[in-house]
Amino acid sequence: MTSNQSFGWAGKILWVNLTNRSVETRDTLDYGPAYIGGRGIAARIGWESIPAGVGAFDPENLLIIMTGTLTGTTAPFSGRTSVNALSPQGWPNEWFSRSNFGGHWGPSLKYAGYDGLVVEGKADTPVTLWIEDEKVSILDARHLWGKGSMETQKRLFQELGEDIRVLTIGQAGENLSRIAIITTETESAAGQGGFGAVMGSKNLKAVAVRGRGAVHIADPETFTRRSKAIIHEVRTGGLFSNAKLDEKRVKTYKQRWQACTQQCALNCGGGCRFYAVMGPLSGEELRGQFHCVSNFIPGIPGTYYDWKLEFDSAFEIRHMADDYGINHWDLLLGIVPWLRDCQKHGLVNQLNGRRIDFNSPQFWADLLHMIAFRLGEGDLLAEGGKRAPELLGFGQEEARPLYAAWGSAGHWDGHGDRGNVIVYPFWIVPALQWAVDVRDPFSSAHGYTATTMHWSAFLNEEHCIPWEKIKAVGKQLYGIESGVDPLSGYEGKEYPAVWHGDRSVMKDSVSLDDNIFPMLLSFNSDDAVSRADGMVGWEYEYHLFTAATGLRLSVEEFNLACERIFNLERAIQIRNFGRSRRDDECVIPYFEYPEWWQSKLLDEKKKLEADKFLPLLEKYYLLRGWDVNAGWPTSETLSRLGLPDVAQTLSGMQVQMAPEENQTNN
Amino acid sequence: MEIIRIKVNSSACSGCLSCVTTCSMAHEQYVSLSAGRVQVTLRPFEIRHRIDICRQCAKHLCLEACPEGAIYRDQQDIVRIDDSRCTRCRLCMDACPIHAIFWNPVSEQVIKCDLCLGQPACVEVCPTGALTLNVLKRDARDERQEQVE
Repeated sequence: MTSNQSFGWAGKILWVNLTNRSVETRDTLDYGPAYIGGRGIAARIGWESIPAGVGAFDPENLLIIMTGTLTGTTAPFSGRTSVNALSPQGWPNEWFSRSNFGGHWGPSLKYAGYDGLVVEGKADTPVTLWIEDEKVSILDARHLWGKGSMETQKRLFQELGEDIRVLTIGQAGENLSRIAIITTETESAAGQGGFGAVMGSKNLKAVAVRGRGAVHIADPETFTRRSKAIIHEVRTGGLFSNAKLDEKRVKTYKQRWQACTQQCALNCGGGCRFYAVMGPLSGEELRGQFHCVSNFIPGIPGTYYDWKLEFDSAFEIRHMADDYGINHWDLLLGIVPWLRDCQKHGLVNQLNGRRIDFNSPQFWADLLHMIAFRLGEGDLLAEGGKRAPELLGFGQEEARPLYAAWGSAGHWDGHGDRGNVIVYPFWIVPALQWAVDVRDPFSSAHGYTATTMHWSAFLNEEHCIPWEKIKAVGKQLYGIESGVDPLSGYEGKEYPAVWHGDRSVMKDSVSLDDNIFPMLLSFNSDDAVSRADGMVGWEYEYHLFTAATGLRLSVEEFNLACERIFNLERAIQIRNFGRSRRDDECVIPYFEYPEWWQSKLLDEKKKLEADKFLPLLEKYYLLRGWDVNAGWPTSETLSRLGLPDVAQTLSGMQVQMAPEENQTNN
Repeated sequence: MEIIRIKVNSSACSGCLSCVTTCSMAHEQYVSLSAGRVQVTLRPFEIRHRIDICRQCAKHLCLEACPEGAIYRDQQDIVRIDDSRCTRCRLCMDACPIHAIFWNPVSEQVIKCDLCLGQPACVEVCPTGALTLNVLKRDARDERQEQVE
């Protein structure tokens, strides 16, 4: 590495204090490569600079927005960015949490010369942070305050140029809703966590970026060859390739492809599409993406999503929620099914005097409006679906099967969301992942269940990989076949839970798309292992990272960095909130409800058995090198991971065995 | 002899920018939106993103505008810039009717598409068919020449 030349990383982290309007930079390599980038570097900053006692809305909370090492490069599916801070949505504590967004903002920040942005303090009036290459200004945003996310972006395009990228909040963020998102473009958002409210609490309306510089690659030839080979492998041997547009919707709604992030290399089966739709309520043509959880807005009568809306209305509701900046996940997997169940059980029939009717687009519009502006009962719903039942005084029972833990509605775990078919024993791994996390883990951890459910005959008997081959791959990955065996019960589930926990960290730190990575399986090879250019699928991330940065580290050292980050995040929750095993066990009641789908190979629906799960949780702790009683990383583990300062801090602390006393139900 | 051209269908563009970044890597060995010989203007609220790339047209306006004779048409019928003769006056950029010649502030050079001299990297990486390869017979040159507009 030549002097002053950073490869992969841009080299600087921008640090802005809005209270005294100061701007400084720090060297990225003071944090990386031990923390890789993205979520990893954010964890280190969080550990060093967000002390215990700080709350999500305090000026001392840091909003840490970090790109990954590969963000802005030509690595496929690499345009993503991690948002990290104390989380308003977090429950019962405002955990140090994370959310990840796509679009094109992160790459442009890197081209401007910055790997990340840390915002501390609070501006006295609304401001826009304007980053134009190396030049950073704090602009007046009083004229934007009160505007939705879309109009804010359009106005900034007019004021600063259409080639800029904008990260912004809508009215929900301004009004400190705990389910407020941070948005870029029309539907890329840091959705979970309530980080829009952290921006709002800092009077930070938007961050606009123009990046005209470059990201340098240590070994361009190798990097390009590897990227091309991975793209070829995804396109020919993957699950998401060769999707088609819907001809009818192309005609009616001008449907086209829309990459959910820079460097998307597919016409993707993940569902990202752009539409232009005449909004039935507004009478205006609305344009934007409609994908992922938004697909639940139209409803599926007779199911969990028991309502019916036309596509046009659903699209308009999506647009409103994005514009106000309200979290689709908490709305569609939490608040709406909860209100529907409460209504069915006769607990509530009106909100702010309006009859609850999810077949009525106008009711949806009213609901979103009352949440965004905190009007009447909307003020309490703005606290998020986890806190709302307590505050409104009804529906606590109805909320229990919906909210898995930590303020997040269930998802991807055989119990929540109910749109994804995941059956016993495969949701045992998600149960472990939920147990040790601080949010819905599955923004960057679909991998295990996708491997077992999506690639196997469970999804598609014609086009699938036989169980024997999946098990053989499982043996290679986790060291044990039972980890992916459909008849294995609780056996061996700690191995994939640890492996995919670290993978989640890896993805959010180099920043790669979760629908594609980790690339474990392939239809291209006889043994079903994904391979490209001499690389094995589960090492693609490592090989891209080393070619980009030029660092000579082993794959073991790279994996160890991910384990280091995972443990450091755990240590922040322990130091700041007294997190312990007692908290982790809080996920058990949710999984004790019967699973929603049933395995084709079993004769009944299953539910979690605590007497089998608790020993499994202990095995998980042991595998992680954590104390089984406390659920804390041991001093030995922290030393092995190169975290002696963390070990020292934790050794001076007492394990909280009664976390209830520590809860803040505000 | 066959000549190649890049066919643009902006209604298929997903805005992934892979063409821009891959072009930058292929020509400069670094990644910058400023170094793409193809440029995509993202328009998140519009029906289409905008793609700007040289069509190697036969109008010769850029050749005629260059006071140094630095722009020429090569053996493969590709319009190229001889950077050693370019004085950075940027008159060619003004002359191009489709704004497909660009200034790269990173290298401080005037840049345009050279079709990667035969195998355009942008076409290879484009996932949605917004950029495709058009192979033409040289004797059909007169018919195909006004591909612009």
